[in-house]
Amino acid sequence: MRILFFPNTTPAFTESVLSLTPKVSLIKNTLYLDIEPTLKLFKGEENLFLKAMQLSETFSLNSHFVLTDRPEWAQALNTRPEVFLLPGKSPQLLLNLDISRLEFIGDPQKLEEEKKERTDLIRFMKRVGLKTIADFTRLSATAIGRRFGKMGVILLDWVLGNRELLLPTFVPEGLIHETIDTEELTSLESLLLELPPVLNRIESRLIGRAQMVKSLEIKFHLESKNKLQKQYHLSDPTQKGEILLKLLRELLSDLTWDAPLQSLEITVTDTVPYSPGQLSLFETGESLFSDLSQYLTRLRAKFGEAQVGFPLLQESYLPEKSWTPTWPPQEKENSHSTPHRPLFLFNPPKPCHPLSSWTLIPSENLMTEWWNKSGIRKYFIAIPPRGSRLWLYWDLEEKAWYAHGTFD
Amino acid sequence: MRPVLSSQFLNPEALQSFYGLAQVTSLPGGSKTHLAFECLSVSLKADPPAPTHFEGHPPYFIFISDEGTIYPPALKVLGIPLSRVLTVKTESSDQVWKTGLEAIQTGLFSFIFLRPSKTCPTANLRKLQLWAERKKSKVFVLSDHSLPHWTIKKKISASLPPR
Repeated sequence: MRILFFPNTTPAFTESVLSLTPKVSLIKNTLYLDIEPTLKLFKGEENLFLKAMQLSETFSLNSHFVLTDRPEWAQALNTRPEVFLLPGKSPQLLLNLDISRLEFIGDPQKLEEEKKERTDLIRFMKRVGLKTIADFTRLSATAIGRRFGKMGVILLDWVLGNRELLLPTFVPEGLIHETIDTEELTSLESLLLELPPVLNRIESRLIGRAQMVKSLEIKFHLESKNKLQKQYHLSDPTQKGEILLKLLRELLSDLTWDAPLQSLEITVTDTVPYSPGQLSLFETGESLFSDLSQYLTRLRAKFGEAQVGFPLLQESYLPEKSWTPTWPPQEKENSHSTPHRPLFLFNPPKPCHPLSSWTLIPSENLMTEWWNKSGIRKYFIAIPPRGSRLWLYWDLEEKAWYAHGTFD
Repeated sequence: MRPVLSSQFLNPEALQSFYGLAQVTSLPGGSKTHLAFECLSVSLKADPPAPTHFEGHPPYFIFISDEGTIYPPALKVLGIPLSRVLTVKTESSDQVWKTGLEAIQTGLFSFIFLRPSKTCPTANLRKLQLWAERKKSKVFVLSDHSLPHWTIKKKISASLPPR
């Protein structure tokens, strides 16, 4: 068994190391990784260890760790910041430790509970002349049982590796959430510089959870106590911080705040299970679609979902409601258009005042949907003496003219 | 009502070999939007089809405007597959130019239609032209504003066919 132990961890970092091994245990603030099962996958202990160190840097953790053979020894061996023990070398170091380190050997879930009993026992051991753990193990189990009781025998079993320790497996819970303190940031550029480390953390956590972001919520906390909240749906779920950065860059460049920004919260509100979706080297169609999806996501973040998409025709009498922008693109065969309708529509229709010199040719009458306020529209093709033809309508409810399209 | 134009006035071969910036303007009675999409329709119907860097995958097209959007049912009548046309409605004309440049730079679109309400600085137009040539995109600027002739490779005017 090979155990990588971190004496100080956070739930976020713990989530991210699930990408290194599924055997992850979080006991209070300590982290135990059983890296034995994935050593082959990462082509050796060194590679896996380096990846773990990179992750700890991503989460700005101090680099305290112990790499040892058994989980029950890890806390006792944590005597200096970095303890790297090759396979089989741990027992030797353990035996040379001071007898007081016995306090930390064993099941980490019970250490707190047994603390008083262990401290009293260690004090007694010191009184009878035991200085190191080796001195303790030189005694026979019977002698230990007679002198130090049941706890003494248990400790001996832990030191000799005679007991099997089963630690609970860590399961990530809750939403992925990150906060950036922006009080000291003076410009948008400095805010954009703060984003990559945060998005790297989100990416690492997503990889650990084997999930991809489907929607994001961004909350802006302003000095005026106002909260600005934005929700974004990604057309192509992703894990990549790089893609999320592009999306946020688009979003932030278009936003304005009425008071200084105090903090920014990013929450992953919806995810989908990660599917590797390997883009084939020889299949350009797939990567083209994926690139298009990423580009569309950025455009939607900038202009809104209703303004960007591939047209999908739908049943409606109203020209502006006869289609909807969608993603992914879908082809619907049933469509109808009359030749007197233009190819370009103003959105929204522009108020307009036809001049007496214009020729108005009636084209069609439309009833709007009964649940809408406005009633009947009378459409005309307006031909001004100079300039382009327009598609106008007279709104019978509002008693107003609107230019709905142009034939230019 | 007389037909505005028909594909017989477009030269499919010239259209296939064209890459860069083309300005489409309206003359009285003509429709620049219609003409621009007619170019696309002609290109789609070309036999043999125009060579693309999409290697056998049907290309995508993008229409960007700040004033409104295309009317998709009318587009379908022209024989253009709607599942290939991305429509973008921006908030300002500057964003039309900016998004247009981005769209060219992505290299995802073979036809790019820009319909801005206002023109943009010549330097930006030149940038657009250079990128369009580099990425082998056909960029149609649907505008009646006068644009510098040296940035425009083609000028197409939509007019009524001669009687």
